Amino acid sequence: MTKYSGYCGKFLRVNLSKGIITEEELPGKVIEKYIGANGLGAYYLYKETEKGVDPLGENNKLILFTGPLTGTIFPSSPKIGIFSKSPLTGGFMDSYAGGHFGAELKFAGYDGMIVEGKSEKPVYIWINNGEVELRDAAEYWGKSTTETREAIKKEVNDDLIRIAVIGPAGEKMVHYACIMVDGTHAAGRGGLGAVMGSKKLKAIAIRGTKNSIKVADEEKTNEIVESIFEEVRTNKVMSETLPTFGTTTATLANNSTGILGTRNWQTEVFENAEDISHIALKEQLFEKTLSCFQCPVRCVHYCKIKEGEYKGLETMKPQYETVYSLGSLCGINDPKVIAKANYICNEAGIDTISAGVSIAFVMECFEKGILTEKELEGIEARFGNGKAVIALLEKVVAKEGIGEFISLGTKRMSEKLGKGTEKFAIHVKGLELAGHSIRGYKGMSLGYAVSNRGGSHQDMRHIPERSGQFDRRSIEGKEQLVVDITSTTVIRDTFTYCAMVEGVIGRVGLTEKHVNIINAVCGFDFDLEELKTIATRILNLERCFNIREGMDRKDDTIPGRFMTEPIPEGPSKGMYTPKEELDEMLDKFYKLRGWDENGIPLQETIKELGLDDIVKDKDLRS
Amino acid sequence: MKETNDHKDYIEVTVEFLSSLKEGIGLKDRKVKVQLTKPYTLQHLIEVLEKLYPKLQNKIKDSNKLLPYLLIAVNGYEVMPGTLDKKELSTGDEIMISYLGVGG
Repeated sequence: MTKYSGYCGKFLRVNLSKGIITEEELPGKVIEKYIGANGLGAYYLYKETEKGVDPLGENNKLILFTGPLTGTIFPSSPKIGIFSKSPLTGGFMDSYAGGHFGAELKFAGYDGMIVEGKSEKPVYIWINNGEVELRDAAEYWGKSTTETREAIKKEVNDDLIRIAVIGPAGEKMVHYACIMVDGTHAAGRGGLGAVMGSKKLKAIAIRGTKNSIKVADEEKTNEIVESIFEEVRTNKVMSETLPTFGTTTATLANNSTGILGTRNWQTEVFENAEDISHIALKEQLFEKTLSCFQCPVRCVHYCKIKEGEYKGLETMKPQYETVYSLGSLCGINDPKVIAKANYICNEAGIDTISAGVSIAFVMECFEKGILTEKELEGIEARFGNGKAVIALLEKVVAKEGIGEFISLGTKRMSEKLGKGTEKFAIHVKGLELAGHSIRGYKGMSLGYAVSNRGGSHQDMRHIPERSGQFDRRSIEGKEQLVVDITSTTVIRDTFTYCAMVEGVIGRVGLTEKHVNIINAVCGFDFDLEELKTIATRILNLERCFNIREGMDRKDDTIPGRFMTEPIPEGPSKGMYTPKEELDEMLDKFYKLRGWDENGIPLQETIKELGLDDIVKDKDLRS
Repeated sequence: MKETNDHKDYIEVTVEFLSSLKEGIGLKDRKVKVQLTKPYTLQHLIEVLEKLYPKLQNKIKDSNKLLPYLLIAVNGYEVMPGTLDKKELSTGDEIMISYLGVGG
């Protein structure tokens, strides 16, 4: 058992090939170097996989870790981090889901689990307070995420269990299949549901009531917790906007400043943005507010379509990223279509961002005559055609015909099509872009380009440029901004507090606040410099994973459209990031990070960070 | 040609309240037209709005200072914090006031 609080001190190893389940100690030395979810995921994935491992093969691993805050009294820290080599990017992937699953896992006695091998037949993992078994899931194979969840609850005769599950898309290894958690959240990005499907693992179900998670310094922790509750209570975004609208208020705010991705980013002003605004969604869809474990913010909403063709359909609310990807990006101005599409994604288990961006790509190909109506099996994939979005999504879920092609994701579709489509294939490193403009924020241009995940908005954050605190139209100082913000986000994902409370803990650079939190909860004696080193170590280890898999500077780039086509209209008209600007930022960024001109960590950087025990020079320079 | 502000008794601008800013301050529509006398600055507009909608102050200020997570844009351009008194407005300008959301 570890001497540190906030941990169970052990994790599960589930070998699906052999059907063997074992418990392993989480070593104190590993905790001190990597702390929690993001750090532990990066460490074990690097250490336990070989270079060139097939993401959908037996030797890839699916790793789940909580953070030390998960399951404690610390607010808004419910996340479970899931890690693997991504079938979409071929690189390191981490994706996080809220809800109650992470806390339940710790209450059952485990900080995480490593799933390895491949089962011959469909199975699910049943964790019941320290008793763990593999159960037959043959009868659930092919079922939707909700059907499976409900059936497993019935099977174990417990309504309160927490479940992570894949849908038919994960079973069929759609490259952007996700893992649905509790029916309310998703570890959405990078195709981790496909990895789970490749292992024939349908679900992980947990009941945890026996273990409670202690903190090291109760008085200090209570003091911090009270101050965070007070800030949440008085902060208008967290106390008013998020509980009422979720994150969907970004739609109009982005549109009015000319940075809302529209029709596959051909423009960034959507003339029908009002129709899919936070107000329209609230009026037409929202039913009730839900909360994650120990979270006072309550940004999650359940919704029900109140009229029209999809009347009566009940689903989780679309958040901003989904309104962007399946709304403005596809030219859709009907909240009910977005909700229906969101429902299909949730039930089949696919990432709404990648799905929407992939369909928008197909729509542009159709409108440019690169894909014909015949090739699209009679679907007139014009921007704004809601029926086409739904029909294409259903084909992706079935992975049949054109659906199989779209299930590959934007990068591979473009590689197959050629004809200049790479210019408007909207991805970074193969991961489709989230809804925050590359052209509209110079810092996001660099942040997206160097993100280890690819086109994720959860590494580099847009808010500091959004606020005017940093000029979004200038490249000045953006290399330092990316370093500071990504240090913060990697620690957020390591401690596992939610992005929704970033504002009260700090977004730009680590501070004593971060140090105080982790020391009070775990009993560490870190100072600020040590915590900064840990953040840098984790980011570099992810980077080394990608380098080992063949990535380098050539992959630190952005879609051609954003380097050559200025935003054509609106308040951000004229903005873009030419290659020369991106190169200038990259050169400065690499120097700050201690990487060579090709973006590869220098040997002294690896040594200084204490990574030389697992990162071998030959892996980086072959 | 954009109108200049010379020789005018007032200018008229449109203010749009986003996020949850409209809620509870007595506004029917999210967008309102506001007449502004001199000085034609963003700072003065905020003062006028506070008088027109007394409950707004509680929504945009804390200890009489603008909230750090408030986003104010004029014709789509964010106005840098601390420069509201220098930002001059003209008739027809569109001002958007929002909280900085997290956007996912």
